[in-house]
Amino acid sequence: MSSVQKKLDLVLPRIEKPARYIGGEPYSVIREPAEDVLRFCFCFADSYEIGMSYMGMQILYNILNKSSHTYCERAFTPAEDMIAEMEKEDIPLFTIETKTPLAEMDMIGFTLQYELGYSNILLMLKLAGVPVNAKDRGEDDPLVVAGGPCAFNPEPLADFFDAFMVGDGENDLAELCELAQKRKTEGFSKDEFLRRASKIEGVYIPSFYEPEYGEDGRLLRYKKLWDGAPDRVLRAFIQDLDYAVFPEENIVPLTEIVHDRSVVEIMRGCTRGCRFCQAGMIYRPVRERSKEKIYEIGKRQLESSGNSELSVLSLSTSDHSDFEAMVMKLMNYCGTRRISLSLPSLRLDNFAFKIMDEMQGLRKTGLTFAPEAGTQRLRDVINKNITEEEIFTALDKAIELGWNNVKLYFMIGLPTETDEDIAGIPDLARRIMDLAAYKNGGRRGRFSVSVSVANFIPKPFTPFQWCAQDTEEEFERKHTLLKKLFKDIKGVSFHYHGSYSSHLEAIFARGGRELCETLRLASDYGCRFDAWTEQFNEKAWRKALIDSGIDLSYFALNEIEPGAFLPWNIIDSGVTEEYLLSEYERAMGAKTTKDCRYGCNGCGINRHVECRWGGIYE
Amino acid sequence: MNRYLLMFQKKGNMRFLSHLDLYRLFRRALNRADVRIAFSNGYNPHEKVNIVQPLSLGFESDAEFFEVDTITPYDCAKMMEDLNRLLPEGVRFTAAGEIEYRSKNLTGSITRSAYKAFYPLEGKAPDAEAFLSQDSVVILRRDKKSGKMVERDVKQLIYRFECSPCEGGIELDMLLSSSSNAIVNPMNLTEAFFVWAGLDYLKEEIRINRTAMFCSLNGKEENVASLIRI
Repeated sequence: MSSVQKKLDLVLPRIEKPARYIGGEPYSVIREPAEDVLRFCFCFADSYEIGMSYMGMQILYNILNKSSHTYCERAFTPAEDMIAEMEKEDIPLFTIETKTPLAEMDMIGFTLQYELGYSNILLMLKLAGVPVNAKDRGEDDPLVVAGGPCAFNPEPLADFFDAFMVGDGENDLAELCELAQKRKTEGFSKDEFLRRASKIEGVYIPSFYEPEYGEDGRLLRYKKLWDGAPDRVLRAFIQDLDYAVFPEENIVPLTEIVHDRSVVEIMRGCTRGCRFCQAGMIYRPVRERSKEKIYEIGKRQLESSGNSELSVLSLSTSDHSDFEAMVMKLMNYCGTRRISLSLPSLRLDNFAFKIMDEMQGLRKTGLTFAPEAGTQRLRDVINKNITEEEIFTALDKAIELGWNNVKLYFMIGLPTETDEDIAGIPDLARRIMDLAAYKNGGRRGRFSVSVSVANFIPKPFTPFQWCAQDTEEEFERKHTLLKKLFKDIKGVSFHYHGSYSSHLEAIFARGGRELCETLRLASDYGCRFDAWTEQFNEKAWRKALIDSGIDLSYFALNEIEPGAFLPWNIIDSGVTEEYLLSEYERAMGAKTTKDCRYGCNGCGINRHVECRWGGIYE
Repeated sequence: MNRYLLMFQKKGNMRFLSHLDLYRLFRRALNRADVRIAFSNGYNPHEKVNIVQPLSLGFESDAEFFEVDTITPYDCAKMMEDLNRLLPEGVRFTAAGEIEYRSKNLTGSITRSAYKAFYPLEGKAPDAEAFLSQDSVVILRRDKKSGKMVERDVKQLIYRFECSPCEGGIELDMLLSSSSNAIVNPMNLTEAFFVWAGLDYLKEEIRINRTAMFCSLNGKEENVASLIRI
C-alpha cells in the first residue's frame, strides 16, 4: 500500500464526497509500470466533477494508455476541506489511480480550458511540491506541459510550463510523451528534450524565446534564444476525424459529475464565422465524423458504460452534412432502450421540431436561443446569423407543442454597442412573452423566459482580438440599465455575470508574459477556484494586479491598433491575420459575412490542411 | 414479474461510495447487462430496485443486499456475472437467487445486523462484558431533525457484544438491532465503549464491517443470505 493511501484511510472518513479521490472507476487503468515506462499525469485544474465531464481528457487518457511506453493517470484540484487535510497530514497531491505523488511523475500535463482556471494550476503544483517556475525545475523534476484552447495564447503562463501544445492534441501529446520516454531510457538532458520537442508540430517551448519591449513598454517582438527554434509555431492538425481515435470505453465515474453521459464528437470546427467566437476560428477547418462511425461509437459507448444518456458534441450540430440521417439513426437506437438523446446547439427548424416531438420522454421545459445581441444591427456586427423572424417562427411552433420555458443568451459590451442595442434585449424578451400570452388566449400561464447576459471578452485569433472590453463602470451601468428595463416585465428572469472576473478573463486572454508575475502573486495571496463565484477573491486579485504593476487600462483591456505586435503572434492559428482584419473591418461597417459553405471567404486555413467546405452549398 | 435478491460486498476504498452513488452504479450495471427492470406505476414511474438497507459511508460489508424486479425471467448466475463485469474492485455480487414476489420489499422486514469492528489498539482489550453489564448502555447519536447529538440507551437493542485481541489490535463482534425504527449504529456503540474504557482513540481508525443481516418473514427470523437458494 502506498504511503499516501495509508494517510487517506484516516483523512477520507472526515471529508465531503470522498468518492472523488478514491479512483477505481470502471475503465480507469491501474498498472504497475516497468522502470522504462513514462509516467504521465493528466491534470484538470478544477474539481473532479467538472474535469471528468471533459471529453478531451478521456480521449487523451485512452490514447496514452494504449501505448505500452506510457502510463497515464489523473489528478484534479481537491476541494477546500481536502486541501486543508492534505496540508495538515502532509499528503502531497497524488494521482487518483495509484495514489502516487505527482512529484514522482516524469511529465505532468494540464489542459487549459478557461483563463479563470489558471490560479488552480499553481495551486496544484504547490500541493504537489513541484517547483512552480519552469526555470526552478531540474533534470529530475517532472516536465510540466499544457494544451487546450487557452494554449493559443500561452504567454501569461510561459514561466510555468516547459512546453505548450497548440491545436489538435491527439497526435501531439503522444509524440511528446514518446520523446520523453526516449529521454528516460537514453538519458539525454532536459534542454536536449526541449530542443527536440520544438520540432514537433504545434509544440511551443517558451524558454526559447524572450519578449522584447519598446521604450513605451509595448511588446515589439520575440527574440529567439536558440536559433533552431521555429520563428512561429503553427498549430497541430488532425486531418480526418474518422481516423482519429475516439474511445469507446470511457472511464465511468462512481460519483455524480456535471455531465453524466456518453458523448460522441460528431464534428470539429464551425463554418459560421461568428466574430467573437474563438472556437469558431481556432478549430478550423470543419472536420466531420461519418454517421456510420458516430453511430458505432455511440452504441459501443452506451454498451460499455451503461449510461442512460447520449449527447453529441460539436459547435453547431445542425450543420453536420448528414445531420438528419445521423439523428434518425441515433434516435432509433436510443428510443427503444430508454436512453435519452441530447442534441445541443441545434438549429430550431422544422426537422428539429419533428425529432423533438418524436423523442420519447422529453421534458418540454427548456428551449434555448443565443441571439447574443439585442438588435439586428449588432447581430450583423458580430455576424451572428440568427434573425428575429427565425426566433419567432420557432417559438410559435414551440409554444404550440407545449414548451413553456425559453432561455435566451446575450452578451453585452460588444464592439459598437449602444444603449439601443442594450434595450433590444428586454424588448425581445417582452415580445416573446406577448406572443406566448397571445397564443395562450391572453394569459401567460406558466410560460417564462430566462435571460442570461454575459460580458464580452475579446479573444486572441478572432476578428475582435483588437477590440476593447468595456470598463467595469460601463458594465455596471449597463447591468443597472438592464435591471431597470427588466423590472416590469412579468415572467422574465434576468441573470448577469460579475464584471471584475470578466476583466480578469480578458486580461489573461490577451495579455503577455508579464502576467506570470501577477498570477504568481495572486496564487500567493490565496486566489484559487476563480471560476466559482463564491470563491472568487476580487480583493486579492486587485492587489496582485497592483503589486505586479498592471493597472486596469493595461494593454489587454484597451483597443489595440491593428498591426501592433501581439503576445500571441508567436503562434500561428492557421487563419491569416489579413482575414481577421478584413472581418474586423466588415464588422465595423455592420456587414455580414456568409457561412463559408456558401463560398470560400479565404481565411487561409487551406494553406495548411485540406478544407472541403468552401462553397459546397453553391 | 420476477424478483431477484442479490448479495454483495463493499470493501476497501469503495466503502467511501455513498448510498446514492451505489444506486447509480447498479443501475448502470443493469443497463449494461441488458436487464429489463420493471417500473412502478403512477405519475412518476421509477425503477423497481432496492438496496435493502443503507450502509453508513465508511463501513465495509460482506453482507449487503439488492432487490431487482424484472419484467421477464433471467438466469441468476449469468445476471450476476454480467453485473460484476462493470463493477469497480471492491463492489462485487457474491450470490443471487429468485425470491418470492411480494408487494413489499425486504427493507421493512430487517431485524438485526452483525458487525465486526477492528481497532489497532496496543495493549489489553477492554472488558466488553463489564461494559454491557451496566444498568444502561448510553450512546451518542445525531438526531436527524435537530442535527444535535442526543443520548440514547440501547442496552435492550444489543444482542451480542464481545471484544477480543486479534492480530494488530482488537476485534469487536456485535449483533445489533437493525430494524428501521430501532437501528443501532455500531460506530456510535464502539465509540461509547472506548470512552467508557477510557481509551484515547482515533475515530478514523475504527474499521467496521457488516458480516450478516437478518430479517423476519412470516414471524420467523432468518439470515437474509439464506433466502437466496442457489
